[in-house]
Amino acid sequence: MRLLKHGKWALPAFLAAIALGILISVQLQIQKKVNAAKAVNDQKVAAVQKLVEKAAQQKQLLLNQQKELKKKVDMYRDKPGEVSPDVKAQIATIGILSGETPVEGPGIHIEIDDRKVSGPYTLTDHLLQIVNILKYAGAEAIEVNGQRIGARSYISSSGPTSPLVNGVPISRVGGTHWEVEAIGNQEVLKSYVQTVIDPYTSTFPDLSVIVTAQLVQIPGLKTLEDFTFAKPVQ
Amino acid sequence: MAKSKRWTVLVTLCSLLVGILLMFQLKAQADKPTLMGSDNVVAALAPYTSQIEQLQGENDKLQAELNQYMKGAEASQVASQRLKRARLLAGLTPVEGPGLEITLDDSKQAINPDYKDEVDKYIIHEQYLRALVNALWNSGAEAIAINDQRLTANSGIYCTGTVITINDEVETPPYTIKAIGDSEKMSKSVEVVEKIVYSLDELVQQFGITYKEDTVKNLRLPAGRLPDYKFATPTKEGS
Repeated sequence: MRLLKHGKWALPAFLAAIALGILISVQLQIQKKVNAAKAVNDQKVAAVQKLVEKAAQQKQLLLNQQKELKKKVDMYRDKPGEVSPDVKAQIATIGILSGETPVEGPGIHIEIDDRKVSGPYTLTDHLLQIVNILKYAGAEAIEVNGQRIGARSYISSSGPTSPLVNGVPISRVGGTHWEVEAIGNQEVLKSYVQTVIDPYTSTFPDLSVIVTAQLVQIPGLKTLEDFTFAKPVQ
Repeated sequence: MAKSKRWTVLVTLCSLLVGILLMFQLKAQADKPTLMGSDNVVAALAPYTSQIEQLQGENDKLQAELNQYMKGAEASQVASQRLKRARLLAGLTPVEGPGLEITLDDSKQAINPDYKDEVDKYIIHEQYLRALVNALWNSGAEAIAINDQRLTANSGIYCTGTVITINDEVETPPYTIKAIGDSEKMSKSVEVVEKIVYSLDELVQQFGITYKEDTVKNLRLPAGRLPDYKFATPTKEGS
């Protein structure tokens, strides 16, 4: 009755006010939830930062230990007349094939950026093809995102997370996601690898693959596998 | 006139409230955190984890070598052991042990006219071998050879026409993959390639290719070849 006294506008205004009130209350709740999520995320970031700092310290400690150990071991290894230079050279050369020896030389650097790709692009398959063609083209050493490719290396995927090379996740934070490096004849490597890049870039126009010739440094295998089943033939 | 004024006030108030709401909404949108997923955590730590693993492994090896010297071993003796191990790791030593033998062969059937556009399904392709080998390494194979070509870090598997080149040698079907390792684990791993990735079991049924898997108590694999390195040289740290 009272509303009727105030004319036709009163009812719509009343309803609009209620709707606005509800909207404001919902909005405030959303803001509260967002703030809470932000706080949790900040805590998470801080925790990861701490872990990264701890890992950096541990790495430095191990580097210092290694320096000391090398000094001591070299004293024995380099004793005059103890180990022939030929044996030393053989160990280093065979270490290139086993992946134990870090190497450097002319080669190619491949940058793969698949962040904008939509569609059924399978990175692990593509990486397998690239590594395989590089071997066929005579690459003397290969790495994928810092993981040396040895005889027993494999590339696999573990669900939606990063691809694994040698069982290690290879994704990096920021920047280009995937890098393959190989040492060998630069022209030959470039032309061979292009044969497994072109079909992909024409199928997936948003896939970016850049190949450059440069001097390359490739690390040794992170861990060397043991042999439980295979025994040397006597 | 008075009614019209009231309307104006009401509309102004409503617009003000909607404006405030919009502002809140935009603020909430801007504050919306990009939640750090487990992938990002792994990505942030992965480089350190792998470097630490590598350093730890290298230090353990150096410590073990140092221990040998401390116990009175001669440097030449230790070097000889290192050389032996390096040859084994590189695939330059013939090895034997239990494992899995997988045989693949092109179809011997005449091409069915109904499938004349699917001729490639009658033959074995490099990608089958590559995927099987990758699955075998993934499941812990310790040594692999295809048609007695021992696979090393430099072995490519590449299709040239109707044959496959491995270690620069042309291999013709049938292709026999011999892998030393835990047969059960390896068999489970290749099953994914056989039944899901390339549906080889269906190609066997429909087109007559051969896919055969046998567990063998003692496989013998030949040694691989050491390439003549022309471009790669050990870095100072590794020499």
